[in-house]
Amino acid sequence: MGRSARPLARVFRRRLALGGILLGGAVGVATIAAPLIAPHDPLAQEIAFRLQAPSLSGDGHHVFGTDHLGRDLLSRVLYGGRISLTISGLSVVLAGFIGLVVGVVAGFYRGVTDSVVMRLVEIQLAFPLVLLVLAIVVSLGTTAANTVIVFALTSWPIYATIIRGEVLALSTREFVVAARAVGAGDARTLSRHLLPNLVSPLTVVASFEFARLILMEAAIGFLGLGIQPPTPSWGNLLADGRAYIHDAWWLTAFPGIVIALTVSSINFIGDALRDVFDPRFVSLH
Amino acid sequence: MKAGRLLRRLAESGLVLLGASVIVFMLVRLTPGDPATLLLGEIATPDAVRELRVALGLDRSLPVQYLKFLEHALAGDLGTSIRSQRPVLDMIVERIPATLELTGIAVLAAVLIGIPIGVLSSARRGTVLDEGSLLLSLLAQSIPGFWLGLMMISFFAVQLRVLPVAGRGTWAHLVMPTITLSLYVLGMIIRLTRAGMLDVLGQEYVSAARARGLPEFAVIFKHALMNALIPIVAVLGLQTGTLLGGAVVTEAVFQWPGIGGLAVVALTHRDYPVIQAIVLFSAASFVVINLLVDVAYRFVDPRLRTE
Repeated sequence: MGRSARPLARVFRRRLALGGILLGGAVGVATIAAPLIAPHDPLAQEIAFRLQAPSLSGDGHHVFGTDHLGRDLLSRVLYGGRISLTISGLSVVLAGFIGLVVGVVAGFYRGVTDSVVMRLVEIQLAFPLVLLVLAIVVSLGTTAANTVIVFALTSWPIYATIIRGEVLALSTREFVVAARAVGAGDARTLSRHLLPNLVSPLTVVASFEFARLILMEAAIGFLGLGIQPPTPSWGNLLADGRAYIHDAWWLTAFPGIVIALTVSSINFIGDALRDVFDPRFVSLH
Repeated sequence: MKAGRLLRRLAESGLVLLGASVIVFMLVRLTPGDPATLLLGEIATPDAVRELRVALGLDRSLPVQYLKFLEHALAGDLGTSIRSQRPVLDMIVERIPATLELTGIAVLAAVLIGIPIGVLSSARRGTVLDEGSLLLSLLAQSIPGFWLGLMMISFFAVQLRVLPVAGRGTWAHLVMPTITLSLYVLGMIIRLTRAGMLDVLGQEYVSAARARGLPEFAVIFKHALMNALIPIVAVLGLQTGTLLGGAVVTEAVFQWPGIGGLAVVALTHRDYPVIQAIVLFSAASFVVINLLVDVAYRFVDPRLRTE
């Protein structure tokens, strides 16, 4: 929402971001520590206790309830988070790296590279991302590694366009022109003057992309085209939930609430980061 | 818009579509293994596979195959569905109305809710109202739309039985799919409107309108919003892909008989000709919509005509 001059909005943003850090951090730590804190084995079936409603007390109770095979939903959500967050996180790193390299090359050297890259970005923009991701994942096969590759291949243009714009804007700034004038070569200009200034916009885009890819993984898993069962992921947990929507609301409710809280947390953090270093900042000041 | 500029814009659109067709063509070639074997299944005889390879032109080189694909696509022949053996184009065309209905109403709902919220939050900048709208726009972009759809099914259709679980027909069928799909664009519309309004509200003609003693309501809605709307529409055009992607998931949740639902069925059964055609169709929709937005944009905004 741009640069907010009013301190009130800024304070509110910072509170949301703080909430995001605490909540998102808690989810992150809980999924990493899943083997230590999960109450049950996420794959252990107890058919006798299938589709048990959530309860906080009683013998062998299940806080989030159990699924159609009697598996503990809380444990599955924790383990599913490991898969979903790892896939989204790795994709962000990979796409960010590709986008950074392509964006810097296009913005710094311009010319033919730039036109080719921008045309590629335009073409890719024309596809609905979900559909493109689904089509490629289905063609390549629905493994975790393929999902990461497809996520990265479809999301690098977002980084590339923004980085390219930043590099173009930075190249005309006095400190870069001055460095050039005193004889700094390409390598020095890039590493000393451009790259440090690209960290902020890259962080902002990466945080929003992380949030978006968690939602994307959830969507393709929900459609049955993501990580395949029995390995739990946040997406395929929702697919199970849909199959039992008439009998067991908790199978849909809990994974969805955890996804929504996690993604909100990351978006709150991203929003505050954008407020601090707006990507347009460089070109406007 | 001058004829030369229009021609250039058309050529650009054509280039994007051509590039999109290459990607769509390559999609099927990504599959490990031979497409002919894939189509016929594992039990096919080697003779049958060889015949189909020739029939599909798979024995030719890739560039030749692509040119054939392009030639057929331009003639409106997008192939035959492996599952239903029907021409893919027919299958898509008969599902366009359902998708248009859903996406149209969802965008309308998102605009009718999002623009007033964005306007209010820009006019009351820095107040609790503004904070509420920021929170709402962030949440709308964070909650998985399809999950909200499932929860609504569980509550309104399964528990209360006041809305139908799925399908298309009456107004009641539209309620939950519309809310689900609107969520994909609502947050963005709120953000865009607020930012666009803040830009415009700082302009001299707005101060001039105020100085002339016009009521604040008229200043905001007549002078400011009308000018802020133009960039909002332009950015919305670029979100066509987001909307169509949202339609894929939403239609799957509510078994809405549109193109998105068809896509999911085709993907699940690896019905490649249908997948290819839908991906190409959505890219074409994006290009056409943005071409129209671009032309309209230059028509509405005189500053861009002399550029």
